[in-house]
Amino acid sequence: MNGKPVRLRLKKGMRILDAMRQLGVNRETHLAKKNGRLVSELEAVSGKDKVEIFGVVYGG
Amino acid sequence: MCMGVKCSKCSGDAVVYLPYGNENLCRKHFVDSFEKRVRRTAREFRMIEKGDRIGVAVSGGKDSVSMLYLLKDICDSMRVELVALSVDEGIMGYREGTLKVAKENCRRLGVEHRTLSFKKEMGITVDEIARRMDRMGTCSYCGVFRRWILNRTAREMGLTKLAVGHNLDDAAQTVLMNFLRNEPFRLARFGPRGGIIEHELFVDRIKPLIRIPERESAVYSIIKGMDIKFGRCPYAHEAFRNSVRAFLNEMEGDFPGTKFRVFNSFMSVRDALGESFGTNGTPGKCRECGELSSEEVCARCQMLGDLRGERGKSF
Repeated sequence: MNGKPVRLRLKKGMRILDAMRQLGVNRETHLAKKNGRLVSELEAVSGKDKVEIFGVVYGG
Repeated sequence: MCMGVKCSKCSGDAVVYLPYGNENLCRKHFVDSFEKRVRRTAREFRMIEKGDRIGVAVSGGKDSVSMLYLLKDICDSMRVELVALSVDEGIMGYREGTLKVAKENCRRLGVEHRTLSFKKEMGITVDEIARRMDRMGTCSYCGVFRRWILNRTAREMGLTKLAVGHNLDDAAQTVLMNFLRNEPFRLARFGPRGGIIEHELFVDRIKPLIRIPERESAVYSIIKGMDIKFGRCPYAHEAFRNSVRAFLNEMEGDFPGTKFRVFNSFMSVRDALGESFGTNGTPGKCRECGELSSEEVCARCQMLGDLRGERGKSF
């Protein structure tokens, strides 16, 4: 997340949005890439995926 | 392998979810929607007209560069001249990178680009100001100085309008902040177009992204390959705005569409605010710099005076 590796407890059918919640990240301020591709946060993730969550809303 | 989320309008892979519309969009449909909304805003508020010479304030961040791409397209189709203006405030380790992005994207688009410098125009950089002020105060100096430089340069270059990258998040924050501070009179002059006042010394401001959530200009910049570095100015510590921003983002997360509703509510009472608080006063000229000012000495010259006084001599 934001360039730093974190490990998540995955549950079946888990979505990126759920991962964001687990990490305490607001979806309004962050975007996600799955395996290098920009995706909707409603996208499901599996243990084989590399998910990058990064902040884009800073203001100013 | 999980199945990807599909676009709500076609069978393409979605790149973004827009909770306020409850829709997932693919690259094509997101770009179409984004550009359509900006064009609609520009048309509705007659932001660009035949004969205009448009200046675009480009910091090199996602909002200003996205705006540059859109305005370049709109201006080309209307045969309107476009010039990009960047301001180097002198923020070591931050501004060099964004100015490089601004310059590179202007080169890609074939847009004339000028960089204006605090050091040259004011005699002092933001880093130097910050060394003397607490960090909270730095933003006020920077904002006043930047607006002063941009307005004067735009006017001297014969530009008829100056486009700034204010987005929906900025607008909703400004509206809420002014109500929370009980300063609704400030909102009488706020909006998608215009600014301080209609005056020969003032170059009209236009805000084509005012209905675009900040998060979406980031998506647009990524899709368009603008090579933006997502980061914040090291002096961005305006506590009150940060609190309002966090509150609005929390609200938007729980109640999608909140930022649009705040902005639309403001737009529905904007004329009444104008009538109550008046927007037609005639400001004079600053006796020191000759620029527009509602007082004898403008904010920029007062601030420079303060800084000189602190140091005990001119810089």
